[in-house]
Amino acid sequence: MKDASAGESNKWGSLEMPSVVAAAHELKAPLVLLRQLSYQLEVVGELTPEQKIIQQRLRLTAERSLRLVENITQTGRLDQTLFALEPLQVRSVWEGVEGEMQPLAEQLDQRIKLTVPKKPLLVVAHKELLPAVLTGLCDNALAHNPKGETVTLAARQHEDTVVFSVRDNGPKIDAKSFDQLEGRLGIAPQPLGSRPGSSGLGLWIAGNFARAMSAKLSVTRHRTGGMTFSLHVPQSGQLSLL
Amino acid sequence: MNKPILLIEDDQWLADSYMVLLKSRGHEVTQLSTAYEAMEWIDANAPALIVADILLGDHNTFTLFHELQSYPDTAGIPVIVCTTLGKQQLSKADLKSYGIVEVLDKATLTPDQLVLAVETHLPEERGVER
Repeated sequence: MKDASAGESNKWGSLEMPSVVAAAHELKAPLVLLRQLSYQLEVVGELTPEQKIIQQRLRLTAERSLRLVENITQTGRLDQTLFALEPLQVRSVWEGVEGEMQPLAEQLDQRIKLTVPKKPLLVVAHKELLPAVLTGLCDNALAHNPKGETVTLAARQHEDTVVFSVRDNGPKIDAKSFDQLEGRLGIAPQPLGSRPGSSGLGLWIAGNFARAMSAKLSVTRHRTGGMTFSLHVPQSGQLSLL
Repeated sequence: MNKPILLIEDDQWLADSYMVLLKSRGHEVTQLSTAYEAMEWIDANAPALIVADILLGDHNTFTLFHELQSYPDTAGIPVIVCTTLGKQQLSKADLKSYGIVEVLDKATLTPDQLVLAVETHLPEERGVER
């Protein structure tokens, strides 16, 4: 494992892709409409169980797409804004992410397990970017995790950081692909042949957000299959003052 | 007769959806698509509350909010903004000075949240007809 979110210059640098950001912003309105129309189905009449499933899938798909376009537009603003970093409770951040992703996990017939230390932990991070990175990692894990399996969300203290980790049980990835992923994690979108359906865009966004918060993204490959993506976030010393 | 709620939204399908929801709760709602149309309509109708998108086709939403604050009979009308703009992009000071009482994010808004926001900020003397 190594820190892979820094180093190589970013040819996808946030301000070099205004047209992508503009396109993402334009996509928001139709996605918001799709989501709202799925809600409207509930208002106009009672749905059969099958219709209810389709309605939930429509909404979850719209919400997933909205998160992505919101993150892309946010990426376009990273260099323009001085982000206010503040102390955030690790447990409440993870619980918020878990709550948001639980409906998607249920629809995919997967489980989410949260493991955080009992003692209070604080990190210094951005209150919107941190949940966005963790939600993205969880979404990525659910996309690769097999039906019936569990995605594990965890946090642990390590030296002066808190390590947020997301473990999936997805397909094994070969060494060459892993080296490619690890070496360019968060630097550029990168399709992974052994993980079909992934453009790597979400991880590139996560890498950008991590850098904006002085955090680091890393990845570990497991022998038994699956991967763990970790976000190393500076710990807040505020609790030690109490 | 109760004063209506004014919905300013230029996406007609989205506006229809919000109207179905609010009307199902017994509210009288009028929908317009531009800030310019809204200015004239408000003069004649004095709504109880305004729910407005910001990114309208005529780019005059903040001009409308400013206009509302300029006259005693409209300065007190509560305005709920319903937008896809992130809260980071909206200045809190501006929002307060424009009479905006709540900002709703369209990307995460649920029907319950819209109804709650509207019914929380409707002036008390205006009951809901059920």
